Parts: sequence; structure tokens; C-alpha cells
Amino acid sequence: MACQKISYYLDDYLSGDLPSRDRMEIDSHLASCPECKAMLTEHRKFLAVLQESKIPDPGEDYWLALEKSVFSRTIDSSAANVVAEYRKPFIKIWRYLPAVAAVIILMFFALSGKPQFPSAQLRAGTVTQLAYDPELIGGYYLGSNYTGDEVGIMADLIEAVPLSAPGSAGYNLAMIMQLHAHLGGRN
Amino acid sequence: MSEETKVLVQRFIEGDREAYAELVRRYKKRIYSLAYRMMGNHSDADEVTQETFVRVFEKRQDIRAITYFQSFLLRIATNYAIDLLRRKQKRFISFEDETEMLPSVQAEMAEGIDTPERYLENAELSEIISLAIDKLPPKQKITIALHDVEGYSMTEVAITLGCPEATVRSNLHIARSKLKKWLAKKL
Repeated sequence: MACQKISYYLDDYLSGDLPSRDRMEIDSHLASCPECKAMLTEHRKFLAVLQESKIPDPGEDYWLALEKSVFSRTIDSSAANVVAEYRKPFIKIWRYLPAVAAVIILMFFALSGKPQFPSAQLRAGTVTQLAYDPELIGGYYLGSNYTGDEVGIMADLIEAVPLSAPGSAGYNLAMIMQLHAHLGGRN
Repeated sequence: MSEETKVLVQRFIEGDREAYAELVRRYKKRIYSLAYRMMGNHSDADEVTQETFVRVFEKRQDIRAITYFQSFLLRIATNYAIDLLRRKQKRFISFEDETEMLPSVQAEMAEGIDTPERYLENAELSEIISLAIDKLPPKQKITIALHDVEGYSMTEVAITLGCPEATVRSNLHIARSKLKKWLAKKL
């Protein structure tokens, strides 16, 4: 066995991890090679010095303080995890809030009364649909058909109604009352 | 690893805080000792030790095999220590430049201690060795601290550092050469 190989297997030799055949081979080499024998002795001393060197003992008070600090920090960590888990759904909601808000705003405008009353869209026979809004006026609606002239008058009236609260029940009801009054309560 | 420790680790993974407390008590000195070897002072060793146990608690679900608990613990400690060493940008003092050493260490060297026994008797021996190890680059320092000082096997060190055994052997060889060069004349 070459001296270089001895150097490579030095740790395994010292720790007893080598197979018996290799160990016997190294023993045999060491018996006839003073250089490798010296190297082994030097390595043993080196390890002994390293392993027996002590680090300063921080003392029993430190060990107790260490445990206390670690346990305290892991309790905080557990609590933080619980809070994080609890907050997760809310974090997700906040993430989608702009989209939800946009949908709500669009729905508001889609359902509001104002866009449903453009005078240009009024045609004979369509007043029933336009004025009817069960959600806002409790099912009150105009059931009669009107002529083209009458629709034109209604369109003027609709535009004359103050738009302070377009789409509200009061707005629609006021508009319908004015239509009834003007047309002489035909339905 | 004893059967009792395996049961403790299993209970800890399942969230048993008492098992965690017992594991901290069992491993605290080993981790502190390794941390001290790597960092070279109590304050940093304390930080590494605390952080290791807190991180082990937080990452307990990542422990895939109970028998590797110790390696898992050591890996967290060494990784944190390497990060801390880099953050602190500790100055690497060349082995060739002994003028960088503390006056007390230079005086120690000048005394000419000729046997390991006498060397060990000196109260400053541990400090000298710590200083010598402290001068090594992080990877070599950790490799020698784990294997030669703390006595972990080559395989355990390789698992801990996440590298092949050949790399561990190579790092050990380089680190030992540097340390021996400095310590040999004192043995």
C-alpha cells in the first residue's frame, strides 16, 4: 500500500471503520514505514488537542435562560402562525377587493334608474316596461299603452324630473305620479 | 440515535411541545459547542444556538426521517452560522501572518510548549485553538469543527453540509494542513 493511500484512509483507520482486510494491510505498512507511523502519531496528537480543548462554560444560569428564551420565542412563533392562518382568508378577500368593488359599481349603474330613461329610446307601447320597477316602487307600474305623441310628452316629463336620486324609489314614483297626472290617470 | 430519542422526535414532529422542550435540553450543549467553535465568541454562539432551535421548531414538518434529526439540527446550525459569519464579514487572518494574533497568543507560542499534555494544561489552550480554527474559511472551519473537534463521522458531516464525502475529505485535508502548520511546532 502506498503512503498516499495511508494518508487518505487515516480517519477511517483511527475510527475503526475500515474493513479488517484493509486494516491489516495498513498495520503491515505502518510496521515497515517510519514516515507513515510518525504521520499517524502526529495526527492522533492533533485530534487529541482539538477534541480535548474546552470551550468556556457559560454556566447553568445561561442554559436556563437559553431554554426560557427559546421556549418563549417558539410560543410567539406558534401564536404568529395561528394569527397568520386566521388572517389568510381576509388577506385573500383584500386581494380581490378592487375587482369586487368594480363589479358592485357596475351592477349599481346597470340597475340604477337613470340609464333606463333616456327619452330618445321611448317608443309607443314601451312605457310599461320602462316605468316598471317592482324592486324600487313595490310593484307599481303603468299598464296602458300610449300613442307616439303621448310618449313624446312623457319623455319631456321624464327629463324634467329632478335627478337628485336617479334610480331611487322616490324618483321613479314621483315620475310615475307625474305621468298619471298629466295623462289623466288612464290606467 | 436511541429509541427514546426517536420517540421524542416523532412526538415533536406531531406538535408535542414537551417533547420539543426535552430535545432542546438534550441538544443545547452540543449545538452551543459547535456554534462556539464556528463563531469564536459567546454572543454569536448564543445567537446561533437560539436561532437553530427556533428554526427547527418552525421547520419540524420538513424532518423527513427521524434518524436524520441530528443532521437536520446541525445543518440548520451550520447554515445559520455561515450566514452570520458572512454578514459580519469577519476578517480572515492568514496563517502565515502571526503578527495579526493577540499578544497573549503570541506569548503563548513564544513559550515553546513541547507536549500535548502540557499544552492542554494551559488555560489559554482552548483560546489558542479557537483562534486557530477561527482563521479558517467558513466551510473548512465547520468541517473541522464537526469532524475533528465534535467527533461526527464523515458521513454525518457530508449529510449535514449537503455535500459528497469526497468534498468533506478534501476540506478536512486543507483545513488540517493549515492548522497543523501553526500548531505542530507546539506539539
